Amino acid sequence: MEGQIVVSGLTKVFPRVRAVDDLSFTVEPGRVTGFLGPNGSGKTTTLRMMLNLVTPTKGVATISGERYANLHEPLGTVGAVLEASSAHKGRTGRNHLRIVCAAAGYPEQRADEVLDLVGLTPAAKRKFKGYSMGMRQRLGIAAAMLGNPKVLVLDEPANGLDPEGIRWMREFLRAFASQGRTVLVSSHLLSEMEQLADDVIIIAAGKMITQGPVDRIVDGMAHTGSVRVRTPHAEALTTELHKLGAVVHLNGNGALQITGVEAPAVGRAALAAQVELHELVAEKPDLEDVFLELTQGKAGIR
Amino acid sequence: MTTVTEHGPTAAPAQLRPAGGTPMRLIKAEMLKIWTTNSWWIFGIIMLATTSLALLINILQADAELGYAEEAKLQPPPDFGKNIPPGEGGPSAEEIRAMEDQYRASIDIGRILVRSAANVYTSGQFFGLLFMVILGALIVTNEFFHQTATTTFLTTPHRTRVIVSKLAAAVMIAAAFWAVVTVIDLAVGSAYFGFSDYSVPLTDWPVLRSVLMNLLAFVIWAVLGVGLGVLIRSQLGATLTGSAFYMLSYPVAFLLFSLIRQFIIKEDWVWSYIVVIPGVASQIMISPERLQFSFNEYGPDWWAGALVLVGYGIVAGIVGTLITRKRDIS
Repeated sequence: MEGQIVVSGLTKVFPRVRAVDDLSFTVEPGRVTGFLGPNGSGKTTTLRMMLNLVTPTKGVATISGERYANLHEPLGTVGAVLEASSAHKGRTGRNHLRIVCAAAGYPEQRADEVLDLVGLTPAAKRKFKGYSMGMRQRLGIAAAMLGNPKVLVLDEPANGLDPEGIRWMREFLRAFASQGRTVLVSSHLLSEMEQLADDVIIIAAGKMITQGPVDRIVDGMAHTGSVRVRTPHAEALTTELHKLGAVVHLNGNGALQITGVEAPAVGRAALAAQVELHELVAEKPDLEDVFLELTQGKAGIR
Repeated sequence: MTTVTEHGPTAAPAQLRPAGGTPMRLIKAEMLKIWTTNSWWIFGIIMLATTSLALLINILQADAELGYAEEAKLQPPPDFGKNIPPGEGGPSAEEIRAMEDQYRASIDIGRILVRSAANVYTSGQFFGLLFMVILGALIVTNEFFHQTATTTFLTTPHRTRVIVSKLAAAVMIAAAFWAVVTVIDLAVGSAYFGFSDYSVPLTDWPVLRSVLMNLLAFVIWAVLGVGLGVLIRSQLGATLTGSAFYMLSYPVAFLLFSLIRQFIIKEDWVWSYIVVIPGVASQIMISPERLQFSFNEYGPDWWAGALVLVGYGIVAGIVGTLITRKRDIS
C-alpha cells in the first residue's frame, strides 16, 4: 500500500550484541507513529535497516511495497532525518541542499522552496557550523522534504530542541500526517510522544514489547492507576482502606497514594471512617508509566 | 525565527520529475561537494606556492647544468688519469670508460635540455601528487567526518554509483589541478628557455611523455586517495597514512631492495622488481630517463611504472567499491 511501512522479522546481530531481534510491525499512512524504546534498544538500527544503510542479518522492511534500495525515486518516496549534525560544517545550508538536489536531479530552486518551508531562508547562506540545534533539525527536515515524499522517518527529532522548536516540530509532523502521509518518529521522550503520536511501537533490548493506538495501550494498563487523597485524618482512613485490601503510601506532598481500589471505594471508605477529605483524584497512568512498567528490567546495559 | 506551520508541508510542487541521467547527476553532486567547501582553494593556494618554488629550483638547476656544459665544451676534455698505470693507483679501463660516459653526458646539451625541460615542465609534482592523495582521501572521509554519508546514501541507495562518481570527481579534480600547474610550468619554463636562446623541446617525446605521465600520476594518486579513504574512514588516519605512504614508499623501497640486492639475491635484475612499490612506479613513470639505482643498475622502463600504477589505481577503485557496498553506515 502506498505510504505503508512493513517491517517483518527484522534482525540485526552485531558481534557482541543482538541489537534488533525479530521485529515485525506496520506503520500506516495518515497517522503519526511513535517508535519508543530506552536508549540503546535498537531504534536507530531498525530505522537504518529500513533505509538500506545497515544490512539486516535477517528480515525485510518495505516502504510502499518496495525495499528502500529498489525504490525508483527514493527521495520522492521517503524523507529521513537521522542525525542532527549531518551536514559539512563549512558548507552553507543552501549548498547542502543544492548537492542533494543535484544528486536527485531536482531543480535548484527546490532548495529555496524547502528552506522557506522550514523557515530557514534567513540562514540559507550561513555556514552549518553556525547553526543552532533547532536550525540543524530544520535543515534536516528541509532535506527530507526535497522530494515531496509520502513518508517521513525521523530519529529522535526532539533531541536538543527548545520548547519552541519541539512545538514547531510537532505541528509540522501533525500537518504532514493529516494530509494522509506517513510519519514514523523514534523517541525516548514519552511525554512528547503522548502529545504527538496516534500509534506507538514500544521496543526494549531489540524486542517488540507492544504496539497499537496510544489510548488503547494506556487504557490497557488501567490497573496501574491510583487514587490520590488528601485528608487531615490519614491514620483513620488508612485503617479503613486496609480492610478493603488496598495498598496505601504516603507520598512526598503529604497526600495518600492508594492503589488496589477504585476512587468510589475510597470515597465510601472515607464516609465509613467519618474522615473529611480535601482532595480525591483518580490518577490514570500516562504513557510514561506504561512505558516504564513495560520495559522494566529490559532496558539494562547490554 | 518564525513558525511556518501556516505554510504547512503542503508548500511543495505537485510532481517533481528528476532531470538528467543518473551518472551525470551524481558526478555533478560530487563536484559541488568539492566546490562548496574551502578545501579546494586552500589546496590550490598551497599548490601555487609549492609549484612556484619548485619551478624556481628546477630552472636554477637547469641553468647551472646548461651553463656548466657550455663552459666545459670550450675546455679540452680531462684525461681521467689515463697516464697513471693501474698498478700505481691509476683507474682501471672500466673505470675510465665510466668516467668518460659521465663526462660525455655532462656536456651533452641536447640530453641535458630534454631532462631539464621535463623537470621544469613538471615542476610542483612532488607536492602536487601528495595533495592529490590527500584530496582523494578527503572526498571520502569528509562524508564520515561530517556524517553526510547518510544523506548521500539515502539519496542514492546504489552505492557502487556513489563510489564510481567519487572516483570520477577525483579524476576530474586531479586533471584540473594538473592543467593549472602545467600551464604555469609551460609559460614560465618556455619563457626561461626562450630567454636563454634554447629551442624549447616540448615536442620531444621524452619531454611530452613526462608532461603526460604527470597527468596520469595526478589522476592515479587521487584515485589511490579515494581507495585509502574507503579503507581508513578516519580523516586524520587516512590523510596521514596517504602522506606517509606517498613520501616514504620510495626511500623505504630503495633501502629494502638495496639490502635484498646485497645480501639475498645478488643479481642486478632485482632492481627491475622495485617497480611493484607504488611510490617507485610513480617515479619510474614520470622520469624522462631510466632511474639509476647504482653503477650499471637501472630500474625498468617508464611504461612498466605506468602499468603498475594504473593497476594499483584500478585495484583501489574496485576494493573501495566492494567495501562500500557491504558496509553499514551508522
